[in-house]
Amino acid sequence: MKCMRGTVSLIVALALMAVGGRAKASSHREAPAISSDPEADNTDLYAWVAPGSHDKLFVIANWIPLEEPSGGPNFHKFSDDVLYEIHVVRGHSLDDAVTYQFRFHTAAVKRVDTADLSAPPGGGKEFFIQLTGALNQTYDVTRVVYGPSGRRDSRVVARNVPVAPPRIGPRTQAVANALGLAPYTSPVYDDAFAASFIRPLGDRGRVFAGPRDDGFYVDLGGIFDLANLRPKGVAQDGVAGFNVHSIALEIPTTELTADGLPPGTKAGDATTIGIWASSSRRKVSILRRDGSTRSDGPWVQVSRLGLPLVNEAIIGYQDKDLYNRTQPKDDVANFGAYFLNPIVVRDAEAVGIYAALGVDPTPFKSGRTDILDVINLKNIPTAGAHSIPISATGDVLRVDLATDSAFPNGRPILPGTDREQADVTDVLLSLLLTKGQVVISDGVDHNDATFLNQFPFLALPWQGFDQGHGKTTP
Amino acid sequence: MSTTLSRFAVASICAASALACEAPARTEPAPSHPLALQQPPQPTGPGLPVLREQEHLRRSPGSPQAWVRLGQAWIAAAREMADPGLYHGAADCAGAALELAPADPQALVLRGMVSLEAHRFDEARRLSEQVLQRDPHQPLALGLLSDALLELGHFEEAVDAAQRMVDLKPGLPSYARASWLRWLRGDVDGALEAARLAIDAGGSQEPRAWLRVQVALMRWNRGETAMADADLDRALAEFPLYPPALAAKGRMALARGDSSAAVRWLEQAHERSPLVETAWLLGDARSALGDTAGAEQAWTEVVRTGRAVDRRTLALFYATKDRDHDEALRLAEEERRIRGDLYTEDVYAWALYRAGRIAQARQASARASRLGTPDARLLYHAGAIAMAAGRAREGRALVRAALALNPHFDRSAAAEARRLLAQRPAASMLTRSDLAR
Repeated sequence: MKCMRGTVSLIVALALMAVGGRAKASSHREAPAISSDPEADNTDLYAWVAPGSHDKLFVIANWIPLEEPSGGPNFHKFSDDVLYEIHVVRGHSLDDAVTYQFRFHTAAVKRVDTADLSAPPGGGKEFFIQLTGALNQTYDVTRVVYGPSGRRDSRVVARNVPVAPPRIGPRTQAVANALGLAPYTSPVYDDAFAASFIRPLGDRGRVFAGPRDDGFYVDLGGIFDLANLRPKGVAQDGVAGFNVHSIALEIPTTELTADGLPPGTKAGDATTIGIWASSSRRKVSILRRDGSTRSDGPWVQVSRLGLPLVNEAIIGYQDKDLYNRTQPKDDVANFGAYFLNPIVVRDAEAVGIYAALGVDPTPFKSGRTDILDVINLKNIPTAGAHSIPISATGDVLRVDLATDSAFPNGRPILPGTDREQADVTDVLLSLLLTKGQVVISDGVDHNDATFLNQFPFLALPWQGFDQGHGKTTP
Repeated sequence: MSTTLSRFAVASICAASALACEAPARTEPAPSHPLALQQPPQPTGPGLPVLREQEHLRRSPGSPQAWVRLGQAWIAAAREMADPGLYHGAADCAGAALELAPADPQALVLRGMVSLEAHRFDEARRLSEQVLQRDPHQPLALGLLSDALLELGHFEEAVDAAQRMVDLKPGLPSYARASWLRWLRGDVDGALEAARLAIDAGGSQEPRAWLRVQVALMRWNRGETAMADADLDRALAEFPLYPPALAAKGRMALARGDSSAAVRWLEQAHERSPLVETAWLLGDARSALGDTAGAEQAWTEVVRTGRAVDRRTLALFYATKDRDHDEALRLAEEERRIRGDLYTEDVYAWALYRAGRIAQARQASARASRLGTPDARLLYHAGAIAMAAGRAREGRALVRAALALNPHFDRSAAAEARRLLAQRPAASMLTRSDLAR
């Protein structure tokens, strides 16, 4: 029967193809149904306390996946139409305790009369975007503190902070600097130049925003080919050589503890916070009322991220939109089943991974409260250290401010090395697939650049001129 | 992490998945879905994502999601190459996915997108409603529903569906629909603002280029030809040789009287994407250059292709050129059976006008104009029909408004509009209704 049907549709196919090679139709005015939105796409989140002193929390939130360094003329940037947020929850609650909001603003390009031959370089007459001033982007940081009984205290803690520009190439740097074109205030794009974009958050911490090397390392090709994992040396780092846009925060931990006191050194729920990052775009009224000329409807969240790989490895394809528009506080209600019965186990069984390991997958298929315990740090760093209730489970990166961070208690970068403190991909694959009983690795265990020893920790962005993914041709 | 244990584990996993890759190949349902799995055109360009998804599918042929993704890749390729024929691949994928999972919402929406392209608007509406009945929060289904309702002539319901879509997921697809619906309603500034938001949210090349072309056409429609031309240059810089941008470049060149440039743009556009509308413009451009034979050739192509796949544009072509009145009216009537949007009403009105049925033309024109769409062609038609109906003052005002909005909206129609205004009011009352017979 199947063969019959195959033959019939093959004939149909040939008949269709025979009509003049390509079909013709009326022009359709339908807008695209699907389009990616990289400027509003969260890619990663790191957070850890300064080891030993526990006096600072470092947070690095990344957006815009797989930025090609040579991607001119429209180099990637933060969107002026997106609300970027880093959320902090505390203790047993998944409601925001403190939120850092970031709004970006790109300078309008000055119109220049093209007939005016004496006009100096700069402005909208230029062909090269780095000479127009259009890469001049700044941002404001608003700190929102939620008090008891829903009181909300919102304060701008940094204004008109410059964003580090794309690292286009040596000539851009030299020429734009010589011409005095902001933001190219240095003849070279080095660590010192990047560090010049670090600004204080009032008297309570520091902030940086701009392109950096994507610090994640993972065999994307292998994992997304149905967990077709490869050994080290064969596996490929799918994000090697790509940049992301980062917002990095350094915050005194006294800004985050409930009582405003230093967290000390004793682990517990009282000193444990949860972090997640999100992006939102504005609703618009399809038909505007008379007089409203601006698009200033309420914000709608379009992307979020807490723990690495949750959206990728746990949430099913059909529910990714739902995941991206909902909040961690509703994760148990919305996605509890995905956490308790991870689909990836059944997928791994289907492609024969358990058979190869000689392991029975049955105990990993359902009732996985162990996953919730890990997310909620139940026995981390010591047995019974935390008792966050299952109802308070959500996709947030938990950090106990009173202990040195070690994934999944925080997610630290190891300064001065090319590694995170833990290989989070391996940890999560092993946890999801075998409750951590068998170590499962994606075969990629270090970044392609060395992390800085200091804030903002991620390495310099790759340079468009000679570090893009292009190839020389003979 | 690279302990000895993990190396062992990785090695075994690789062996297992290598086996797994081969095993399903034997049960691959490929033979029954030849269109989904055929080699895409331009396999190193727009066809590349199709190849990738086909490869993915070969490894997991039992996954409805893999079929849906391949189908979406076919639609993206169809849009990028402006080749609707590639929708056959998407249709095949929808069929395969629904065989595996008859109620899969993404597969149903995919089938609906194919229905929409094939102008089976009612079917597209039913499929999207089927999905939304089970889950009212599917942005993709809401977009499909809005598109289908608009074509079926239910503007307010289309707005409602698009509003639910943008409330759920602001982004290029929902902002783009906001832009178009605002424009239809006459809010050009609002439409341009929504288009700006859409472009900002547009990471993918073709959707962003598509928006830039829409912006250009909106600007052109209110006579801002130079700005429109700059939008098109940006579209082409970001997405070279994009056929809708090439065709629009030709339209702009024709509007400002650069006929030889128009011919070059339109030939390029038509070679890549032989749309009826493009052939019509090409004929107009050649005619403006004095190339009568070349113009006739292009217009013959309009008739040939229009009869096969695009009767609405052909009906408008006939009516605009004041020829083949009976066929024009027949085509417009046929189109009205499946479509009730204002552009279909406009074509019907103009075909009725040419046929001398002025009272009916007046009614259809009122339906076409009810939203206040700022399109010079609609205004001109409404004006000419009003004049023919004896409403000289109202009609002349509309015709003047059309020419003021966009003096070059169509080569022959704009010329006819000017002749109509030049005639004495008394004479113009008699023109169409009597002379067309």
